Amino acid sequence: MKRIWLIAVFVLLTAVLPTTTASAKSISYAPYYGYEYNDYDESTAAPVGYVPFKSYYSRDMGLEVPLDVPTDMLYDGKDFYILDSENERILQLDNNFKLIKAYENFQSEDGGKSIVGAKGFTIDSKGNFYIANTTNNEVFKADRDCRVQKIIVRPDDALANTDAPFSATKVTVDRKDKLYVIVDSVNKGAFTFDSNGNFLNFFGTNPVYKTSEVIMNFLRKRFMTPEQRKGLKPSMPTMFSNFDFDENGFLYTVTASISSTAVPDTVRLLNYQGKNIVPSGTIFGDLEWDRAHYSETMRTSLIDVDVDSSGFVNLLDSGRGRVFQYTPEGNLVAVFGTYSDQLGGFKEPIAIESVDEKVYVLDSKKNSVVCFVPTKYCSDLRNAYTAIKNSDPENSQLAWTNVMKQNTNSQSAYFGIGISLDAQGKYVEAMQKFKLAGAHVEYSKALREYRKIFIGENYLLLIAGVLFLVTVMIFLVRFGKKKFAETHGTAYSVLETKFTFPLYTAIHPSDGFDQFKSRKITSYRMIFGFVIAWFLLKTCQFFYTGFSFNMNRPLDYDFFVTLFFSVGLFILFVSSNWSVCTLLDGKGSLKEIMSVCAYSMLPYLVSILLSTMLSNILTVEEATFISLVTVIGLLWSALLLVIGLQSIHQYSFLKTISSIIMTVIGMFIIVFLIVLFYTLLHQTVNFVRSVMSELSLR
Amino acid sequence: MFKKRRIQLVVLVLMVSLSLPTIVYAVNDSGGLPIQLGVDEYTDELDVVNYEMAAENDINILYADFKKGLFALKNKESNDIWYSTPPDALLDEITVGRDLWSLRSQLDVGYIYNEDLLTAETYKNINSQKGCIENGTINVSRIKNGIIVEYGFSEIGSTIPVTYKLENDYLTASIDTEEIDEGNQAVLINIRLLPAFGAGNWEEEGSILIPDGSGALFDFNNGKDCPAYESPVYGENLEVFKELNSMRREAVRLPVFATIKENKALMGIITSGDGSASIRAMNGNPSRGYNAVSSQVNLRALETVSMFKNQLSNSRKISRVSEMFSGKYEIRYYPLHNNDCNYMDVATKYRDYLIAEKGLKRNSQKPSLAIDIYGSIDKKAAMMGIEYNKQLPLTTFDQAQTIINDLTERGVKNLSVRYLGWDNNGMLNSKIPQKAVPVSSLGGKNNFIAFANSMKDKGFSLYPNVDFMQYRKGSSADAVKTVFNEVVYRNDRLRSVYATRLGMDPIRLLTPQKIVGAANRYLSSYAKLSINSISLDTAGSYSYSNNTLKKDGFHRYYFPAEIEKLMKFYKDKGTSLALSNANAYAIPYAERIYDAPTLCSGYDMFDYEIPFYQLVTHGYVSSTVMPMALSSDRRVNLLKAVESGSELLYGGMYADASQVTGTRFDYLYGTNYQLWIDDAVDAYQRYMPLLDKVYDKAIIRHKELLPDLIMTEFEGGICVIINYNKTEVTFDGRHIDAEGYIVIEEAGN
Repeated sequence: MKRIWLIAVFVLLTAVLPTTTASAKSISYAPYYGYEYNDYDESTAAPVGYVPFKSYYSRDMGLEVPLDVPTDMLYDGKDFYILDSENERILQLDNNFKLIKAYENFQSEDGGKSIVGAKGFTIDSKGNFYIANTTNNEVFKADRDCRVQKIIVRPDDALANTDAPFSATKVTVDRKDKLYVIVDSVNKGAFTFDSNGNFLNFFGTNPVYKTSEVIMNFLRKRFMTPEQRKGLKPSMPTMFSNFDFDENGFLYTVTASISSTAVPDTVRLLNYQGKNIVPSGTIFGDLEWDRAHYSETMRTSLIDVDVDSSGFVNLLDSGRGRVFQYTPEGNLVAVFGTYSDQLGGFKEPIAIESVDEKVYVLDSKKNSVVCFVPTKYCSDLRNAYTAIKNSDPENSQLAWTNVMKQNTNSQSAYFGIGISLDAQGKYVEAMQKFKLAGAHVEYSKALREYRKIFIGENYLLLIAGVLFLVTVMIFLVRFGKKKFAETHGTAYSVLETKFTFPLYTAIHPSDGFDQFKSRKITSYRMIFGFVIAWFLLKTCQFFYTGFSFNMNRPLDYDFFVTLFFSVGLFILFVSSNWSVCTLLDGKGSLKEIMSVCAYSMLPYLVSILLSTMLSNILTVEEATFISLVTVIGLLWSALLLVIGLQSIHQYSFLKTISSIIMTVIGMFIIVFLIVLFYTLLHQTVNFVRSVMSELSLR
Repeated sequence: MFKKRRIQLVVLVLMVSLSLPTIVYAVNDSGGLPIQLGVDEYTDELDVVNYEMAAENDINILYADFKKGLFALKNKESNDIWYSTPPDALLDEITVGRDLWSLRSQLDVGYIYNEDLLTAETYKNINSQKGCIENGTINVSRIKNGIIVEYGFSEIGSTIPVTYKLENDYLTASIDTEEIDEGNQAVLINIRLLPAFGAGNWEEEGSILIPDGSGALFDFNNGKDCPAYESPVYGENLEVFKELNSMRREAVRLPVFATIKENKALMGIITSGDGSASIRAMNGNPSRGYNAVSSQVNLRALETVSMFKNQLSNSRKISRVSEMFSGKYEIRYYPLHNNDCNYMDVATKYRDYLIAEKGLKRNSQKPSLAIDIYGSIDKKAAMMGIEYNKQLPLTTFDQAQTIINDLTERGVKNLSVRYLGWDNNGMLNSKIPQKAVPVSSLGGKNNFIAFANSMKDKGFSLYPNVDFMQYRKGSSADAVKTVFNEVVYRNDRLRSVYATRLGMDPIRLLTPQKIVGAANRYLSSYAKLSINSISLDTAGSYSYSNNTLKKDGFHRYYFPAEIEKLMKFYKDKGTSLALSNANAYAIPYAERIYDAPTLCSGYDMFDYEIPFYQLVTHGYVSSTVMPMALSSDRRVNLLKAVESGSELLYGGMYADASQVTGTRFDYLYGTNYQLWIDDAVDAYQRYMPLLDKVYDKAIIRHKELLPDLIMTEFEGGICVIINYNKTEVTFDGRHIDAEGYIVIEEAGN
């Protein structure tokens, strides 16, 4: 008997158990590369920040009627809500996206309310729904039984001078249940309504974006006829596309950008007065665009924003199909997502929400929600930023060192370590790190602190050094004066010899330059030496200016550009001056002109040297001193130049000035001619090349 | 007593009736001739299939309709029948659009009319149901062991003969391009062969195995609305470089696919022409009633070039096609039968094929900790504004020695080292290497030989890496060119916009015919370095054509054979090979495969990812997982290694990794060896005992026990259970940590 039971059970199990479909590990591939931006706005390789974890389709949600182009998604702290407007319902789903309840058949006093075409919704503190019923030009409030409580229509007074319909796209409420509505056809800011549905005011108008496109349009408009002008799109502020409140009650707004290059103000954080408190000039989104394929590059278009529980800001870019996560100060934490048919790729991303550090994106064409989770690298990075915010320098240093180990390209890691070191008073090490991070301002601040300490520790030595220098200088001057006054039997002082002549002309210009004509005191070697010195000093300045001021990268040094701006400029000025003055009956020969130009450069060259040296010990606030040195040098040299030219050409003062002006014009003409010649040559070469390539393709 | 009996009887009846559907289903499917469902008196004659016996051997029977060419394959032992087009196609009420006809066809051909050739941007399709059967231009003839079907596409004037033959335990479907009569109306671009062979319908349960990356599966009728899957076998066509291409995906490395149903599976192996093939698949969803996987042979490349790019108003595009290859395209279809048939059966069968016909041998390499050493790169430096490429040493030979010593002192007993960037120009060739010249700033020839000898003395494997395909400087005479005879440049891309990254030398590819010659010439100087192993870098994974119409033209179809020549040459000279991410034809030649695929591309269509690559190869070749520093999740990477008995791979350099910032190697962030040496040694100590036991044992079972809880069983009985979940799991009384694993010494689970 027992045997029959056993056999029966066996048969039951093998026959009735559902036939298994294959079952194996879920997918864990990120179909995009990780990157960050460095100090020069270039992308550098970085570990991937967020990886896709799972996609939830209608089937996974347990829906009998599948999603049909859902338009908005919301997380109220407990459950998810999806606005499935084509199916006229709002779905409430748990954290695993299993259906809890569907809210449909919204009923008002006048009958059923259709929400087809509704683009946005929100939930107030009491759990009521506010639905932006876009195609019906209204916003209505409904309770959890789907009974319409209030309908808000177009506030005609506020929109008196426009026909714009009240096509509300997105809605949100603040802590006091004040309602904010975005109407995409009205760009005065968000409409605000009180809890009774009365219109209050407009909040947070976008500024006009002065991108190059806008400026070009402005200039072009000057040349257009009235009819043409009508056809142009007006450069008015665009309405922001979406918003989200942070924990302080400030409102983040995002705007779908109008150009493919990143512009500031696409993301703003508005305080209660509607003023943007994001540090000015901060740019969110991709900082690179493809110049070669400008028209094909996808444009960044921020359509949603969500602030997570740790304060990080997630931005949804539907243009490039990416999510950008930033700290509130504008530091990039992670970039992820792409357009593709893969897990973690989008077809039409429309809304973003976060639960702690997880990010959820609703895709209205794939009809699914995809969940992204941070990698270990990203979690460590987030911790590091939080440690800075919590003013905990030791932990912060550890956290940032940890980040740096995982990504040695990360300039923000060096920055973070630098900040931590700075807070701990280790200024020298901090300066090193700031250099690696490209943080000039912080470097300068640390330098100032370090200087204070340095001076504080070594003030006796410094005072002794200063006294010593002063004594030497007084001695030199006394000695020099005696020496200069001597004349060894000639009419001229020691200083007035060939190779020390520039020193003399610097102090006694008119006498000195006059001697050009009377004595053979000019020297080709000196001229050559000065020009080369100019080139070398400019190079030194490029590399050795103190880091507080030096924005140059060693690799960016362009030999030919520096050569042009020193030797080239010299030759240009000299030849132009010679040509002009020949026409104006100047008496100066070419060699004299060259000498004047070269010798009068002396103060300027000394000022370059001095300013470069000073820049290494001064801070950003003391920049005026450096400018002062440079200005004195320039003015002195300019003076010498004028006196010198006047002297050798034997012009009147006025004529000298006018000849200099004409010289400058002459320089432009020469440059223009060279460029013209080069372009012609280039065109010819191109023509020949294209003919040859056509022939080769035959 | 009597009551008890009655209760037992009732229960028995209940159970039998509940199991009846299963039994009935089995009955319907077995013993008998191929059938067609849905035929009634209104059915058009063109849609009716009449099967007759066409060929028979000890194992299978081939039935065919001699008017239409449709066939069915029946296995004698199991009575399973596989249809070349779905037998219930007439009952299909779901499929819409083009799929409707191509799923009833045996051939789906891509073509371009000759007159459209100059301006065509893409090709058109015609299928055999509409193009041949309905025009009555099919000709079926009997041959020994099979049939030849001549598909006449009268609309385009082409005739394609396909041979279907029974051999041993499989069916071959082959096309010989020399027999194709293209006619003079159109050129053929590709042919999809048997797109719906063995397809699963809208009610059936089963899954489809796709060799994407490590391997992927999708369940029948998962309802996902996504486009058909298509991926070229052995990776993208490298000779096509598109700007702004943001696609990131894994490549197909094994030319094998399968449709798996309840107790049976149909496996396809592309045995000839795999170099120019693609895998295609489609899933069942609300607008497609069938789930199918198939292959496609790519005959020609269509390339477009823009003329007068700078003059926008005058700019126009012209197109041209490359030459078709001359050779045979052949697929073998193996009908498999097993209770609870799954992908493991497919893996085992494919492995048997590789052993029997491709020379795959048992793994004789002792397991080791695999290390990549980054030797030198060239970095752009400027002296007073004049740019030059500076050779930047990242790990000199002496420093490499230090790293090895450090590892051995910490207890690592066996290492295998792949040295990248040790010779000539460092990690990326400046020119195709002619002679083996260890980089002088790394220590030069003497230090290299010293290092090689010390590795030999310790019994560690050393594979210096050489690339015979990519180069940056020198003449373009031997470079791969487009069909318009323009040199193909592959540029480094920006990660943000995928446009060309400025300031980096573009890479050219050596035309395939010259690869073997370059490698042969190299060997003579290499042999003098007292080393008899080498890593051939991408020789096993890259694949490309030279589309030029001039004499250097080379179709990708011949590429695998060329690489096999190369590897055979090295093997005959006694040099053992290591390869990176190796394709099927290269696997039997490799002693060690670095960076074997562990992930699939994650297409929406897929439901699961499986280590199919490793299920096939484990125990017969040592393979490693992805370098730890480059994986997006190190813990998952470790688990992937344990799951498949693969070696761990750590890539490192001696210098500070910030040296590579700003170069094209900036993806090597965080690889200074000090950063990972502790973790590596720790993982090694924990994992090596297991690997010591299973390195030469094939995998015989692999399944999911609970969601993301995977079990692998090796020959000899050792099992591992891997928990990919972020929470701990208890199974069968055993507790497995979150993202952890346990090893079970005896079988029985």
